[in-house]
Amino acid sequence: MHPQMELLVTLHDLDLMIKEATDGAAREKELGFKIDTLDHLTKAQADVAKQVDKDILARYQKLKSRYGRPVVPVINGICCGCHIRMPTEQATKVGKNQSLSTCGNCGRFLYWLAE
Amino acid sequence: MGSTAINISSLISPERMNLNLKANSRDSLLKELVALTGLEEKAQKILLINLKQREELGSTGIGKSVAIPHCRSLLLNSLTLIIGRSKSGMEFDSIDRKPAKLFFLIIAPPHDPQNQYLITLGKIAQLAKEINANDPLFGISEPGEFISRIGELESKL
Repeated sequence: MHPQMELLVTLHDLDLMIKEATDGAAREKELGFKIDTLDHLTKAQADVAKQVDKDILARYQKLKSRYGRPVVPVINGICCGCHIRMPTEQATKVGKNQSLSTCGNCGRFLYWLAE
Repeated sequence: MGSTAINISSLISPERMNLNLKANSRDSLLKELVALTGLEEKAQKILLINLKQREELGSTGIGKSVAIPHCRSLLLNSLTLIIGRSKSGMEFDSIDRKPAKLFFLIIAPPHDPQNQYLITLGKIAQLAKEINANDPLFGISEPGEFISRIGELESKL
């Protein structure tokens, strides 16, 4: 996996965890889970963000504010953000996660799931 | 999809079960569980970071020797349930301060329109309440028997 993609996936999953911990804390507590302060998560989020290349992070933040989820999986050749089929050239490339790819239609960063 | 439509026992497969975890720390135990996803090494590393972060938010040890580590991740395209058991138990900062022995690791993709993640989490949390200290789940060695026992407990919910 491309090192910047590793960081983007980590950042994306952290962003989501923070969002769900904020919006869904009551539900988790109801189920019997402990939910403490979010401070360490926001610190981890900032630490990961610092490691992302400046231009890539700027694009990530822009996509995040536009779509909510700036990184989306590609399943069966379909971008799970805009549901557009990826061009054959892109979809058949070997080692797709070894480079940083984006959707030609919506611009989101793509994580290619194994098929 | 309603909660009744999710069948926990059908989400468990013998390939994603380890009834004899060897780990001697919380982090290594999570690593042992994550290895059962079959993801490539780097993806496992990311998932492990994610799960550790979730534990920092508050332990998922819900007492009665049960822990339910969970997170959402881009790395999997469907809800995945992994079962682990540590015979000696693992300190997991559980609510009742007792070591956890049974682990239900849940990983769900972010794209989850039917909200299977929270429904599954809720159902396993409910199921855990049915597990007592002498439950066969703590001694069964055959994965098939383990899954059947989960099915029995589930039928009581």
